[in-house]
Amino acid sequence: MTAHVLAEAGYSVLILEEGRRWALSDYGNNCPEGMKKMYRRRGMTPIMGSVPIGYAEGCCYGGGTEINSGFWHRTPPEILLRWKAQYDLADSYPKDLEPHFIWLEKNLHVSLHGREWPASTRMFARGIEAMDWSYQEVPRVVEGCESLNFCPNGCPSGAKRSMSLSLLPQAEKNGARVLTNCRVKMLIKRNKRITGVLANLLREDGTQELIRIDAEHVFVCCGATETPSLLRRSGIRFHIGDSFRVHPMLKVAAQYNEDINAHKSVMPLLQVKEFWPEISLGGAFFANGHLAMLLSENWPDNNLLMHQYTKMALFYVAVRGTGKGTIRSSLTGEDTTSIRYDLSAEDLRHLSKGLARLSALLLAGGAKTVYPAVYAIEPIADEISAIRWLDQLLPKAGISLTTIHAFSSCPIGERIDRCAADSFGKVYHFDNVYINDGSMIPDSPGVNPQGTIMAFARRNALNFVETNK
Amino acid sequence: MDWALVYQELSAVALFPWFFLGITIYLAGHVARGFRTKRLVSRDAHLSLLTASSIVIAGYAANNIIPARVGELIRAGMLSERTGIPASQSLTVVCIERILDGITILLLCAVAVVMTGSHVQPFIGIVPLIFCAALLLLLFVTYAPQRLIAFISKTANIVAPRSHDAILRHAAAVVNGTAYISQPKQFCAMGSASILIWLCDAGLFICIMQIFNITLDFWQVLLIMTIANLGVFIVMSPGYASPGYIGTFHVLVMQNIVALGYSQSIALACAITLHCAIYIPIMLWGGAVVLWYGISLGLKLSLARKARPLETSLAHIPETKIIGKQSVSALDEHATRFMYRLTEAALPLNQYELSNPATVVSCCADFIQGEIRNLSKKIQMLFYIGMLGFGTLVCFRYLKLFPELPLPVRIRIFNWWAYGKIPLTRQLFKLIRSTALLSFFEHPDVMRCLEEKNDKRK
Ligand SMILES: Cc1cc2nc3c(=O)[nH]c(=O)nc-3n(C[C@H](O)[C@H](O)[C@H](O)COP(=O)(O)OP(=O)(O)OC[C@H]3O[C@@H](n4cnc5c(N)ncnc54)[C@H](O)[C@@H]3O)c2cc1C
Repeated sequence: MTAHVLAEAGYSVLILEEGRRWALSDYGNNCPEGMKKMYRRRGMTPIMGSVPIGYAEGCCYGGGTEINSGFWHRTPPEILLRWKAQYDLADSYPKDLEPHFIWLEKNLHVSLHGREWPASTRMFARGIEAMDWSYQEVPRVVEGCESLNFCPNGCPSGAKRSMSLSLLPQAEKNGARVLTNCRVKMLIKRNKRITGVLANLLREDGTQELIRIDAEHVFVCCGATETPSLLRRSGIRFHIGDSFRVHPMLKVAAQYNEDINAHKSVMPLLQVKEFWPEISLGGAFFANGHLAMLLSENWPDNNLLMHQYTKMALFYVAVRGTGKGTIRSSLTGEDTTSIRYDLSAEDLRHLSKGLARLSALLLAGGAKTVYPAVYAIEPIADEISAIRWLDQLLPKAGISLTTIHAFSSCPIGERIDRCAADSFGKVYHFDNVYINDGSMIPDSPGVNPQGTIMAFARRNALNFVETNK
Repeated sequence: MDWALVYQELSAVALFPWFFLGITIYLAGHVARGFRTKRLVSRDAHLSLLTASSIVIAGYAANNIIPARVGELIRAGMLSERTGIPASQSLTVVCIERILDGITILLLCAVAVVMTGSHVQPFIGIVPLIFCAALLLLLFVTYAPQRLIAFISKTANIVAPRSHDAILRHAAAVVNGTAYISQPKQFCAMGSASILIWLCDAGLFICIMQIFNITLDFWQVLLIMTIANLGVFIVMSPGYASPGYIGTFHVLVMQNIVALGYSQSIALACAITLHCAIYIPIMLWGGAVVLWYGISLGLKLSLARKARPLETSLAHIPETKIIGKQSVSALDEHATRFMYRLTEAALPLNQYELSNPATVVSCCADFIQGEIRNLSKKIQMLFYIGMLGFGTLVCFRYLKLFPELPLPVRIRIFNWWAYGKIPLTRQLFKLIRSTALLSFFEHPDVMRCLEEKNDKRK
């Protein structure tokens, strides 16, 4: 987004991307292959803490948008007001962001599925209607989805308007240049200015070079974990990496009496709004490998369920994380990042309640049994055993959590006592370095974050162009 | 000193077989040194064992004729010229070798002191301090290279901004020099090679002492060898070190032999013979190398004058400045035997009629191994410590290594650890079980079996 705005405004832009640039023909692999190609550390970036959380993020040209599901939300007004109150975030009322959302939704072709819902979505809808809860079909950054079910491994049809297919080519057309396989090691500081960066450039022949790139302005957009890591490595630490947040997610597998064939269709497209923004319920990507991973929490009892894979679908409870997290660059300054998040008591309560509600919904929608990713708890086969989690807490030692939504590690706002950068991403105490990615989001948005990140990124980049005229 | 007696002892020396055997063992030590050099530069250059050993020997030969250890610089220069690696990198490699040598000699000396119950020679006092400081510095550069680069970049930016890139280029080369030992396994391998090298030197001492019927036990010989080398190190400071350590070496060897009850004349004769055994082959081999090197260097320089200058920035991005090469560690994609056997125990192989189960297992095991190798170093270390504990406990319980156990037993053990009641073992095995099952159920052969089962059910 940043490169797009700056290149359009006539700036000379150089994009440095650590991952590779893949062609569309390289997309659409199975999960292990996809992880190898497109994920940071092949998907092995666990978050440590009182309950370890499996976390993954993209590492390729286009970043997380190449492997995400493209679910699109505008930031809920309540959340924006909260940020105004807590972080004194300037120009962030819904009306301020509206033009950016409109621009993005138009340019990225954000739209509804527009075709018959697949079986897993229908079953989910049946459950929601039986519970009489409010819900929505979530629009996606997808145009003409062919239901190939390859979202997390790169959409091979090009229907998903990921950055490598949408804004980046436009930026390149406007003169932005790209160096892929180029990992920025550190920013070079001189008093209050950044004069450039030091990076490792991996060449096609397998050799690697240390390069220096001089720049007038530097925008750090490495994502919620790598941006603070890079800044800290470079000696910029003021409120950097101290307030990391995620949406902890608990997955369940639902077994139906009839074939759902979730492996052959796009994931369930609906989300339950009833308990927003604290708890959201929705459908998760399905692949046999993912089903097996979930069932592996209680594998000796569950392994035969794999034979019923056509009757299974995956769903999740996600909560607006309220725990505390930190991002630290490794002590040795190596290219590894320590990610920590401590689940709060509230998170656990919300997850337990969410599980109760999701299970009740799925059972009402025709599921025979619900298998949560929690060690040694009985599969949920009736409403009573579902509802008990409204009052009981899930066991911390047995719960298996994942997340793909990370943010807030370098919050923006005018409150210098808690923010890393001003309301438009300019890092405090520096003249020419900006943050413009998921890390700047002040707190958990409670909804899928891509929309929020992009709207703020566009707002900030335009502000930069305006103030540097 | 009765020189006539010394002469008498020397003229009675029977060179065969001990003298030649000693030289052979000593040269084997130099080949081991060559092997060490070869490995240390292996990430950036292919060096044959002969060339590597020749470079080492040329350095030793130069030290024999030029004082103040100038030979080390010559060795670094030759290494740089033969491999194409920057001089600062080759100098780093030489420093690593010398630090490893110093630490090894100190360790061997300590062991020998303990085994013989001798007193530590007073001059040794400062040597451990010097080498420990050097080792700490080496460990810092090896295991925190980014910190070094960051520190140097920041400092250069303040002190000499114009020379920032040039300084950083040297820092990057130093880091590259240590890249090979950044894997703890390889560090240990280099340490082991150093022990072997110095045992070979001890072998030479044993052989030469046989000539003079000096019958000492192994630890006493080791003590003499290490003290002689440490003493040489102490007096090696520029301006003080004599070429070839003539005098210093003899006094140290002699004193120690005398202390063990032998006459001065025998001790000195032995020291002189030892020195000849060290000096002559090195000078012959080293001299030939330096001569040949001189000729080929001349040819190379004339070619270099015609060569094109190196690329300094990327063609399409002029604001980039190429500072220097960086070592890349290629990821080993293959599973260890332990991982293969563990994976085999983790997969529900008996439930599916796979066309080639072994291929599926090895494909899954490779995937798991790759995933583990991609974990951050800290988590990887925790994981390996856990696995070490697992392997040890299994070994105690079954008196066999885990991979040697029959599959049903391995499955039982795996299930106990991965799905049992103890959260810690479950957590440790979570990574293996989940990645194993992910890759298994995404394997085309397994997908086919699942589909067939499903069709049959319908
Ligand atoms: C599987 C998955 C599904 C998701 N589904 C959704 C969804 O449906 N809807 C939604 O809203 N969100 C979703 N998300 C989250 C969303 O994709 C991310 O929040 C978003 O992409 C974050 O954008 P970002 O710009 O902050 O970082 P990223 O998109 O992660 O981009 C950062 C880029 O910087 C590069 N980089 C990092 N460090 C360096 C360095 N040192 N040098 C050079 N380059 C570097 C990385 O390789 C990466 O390409 C999903 C995420 C995942 C992983």
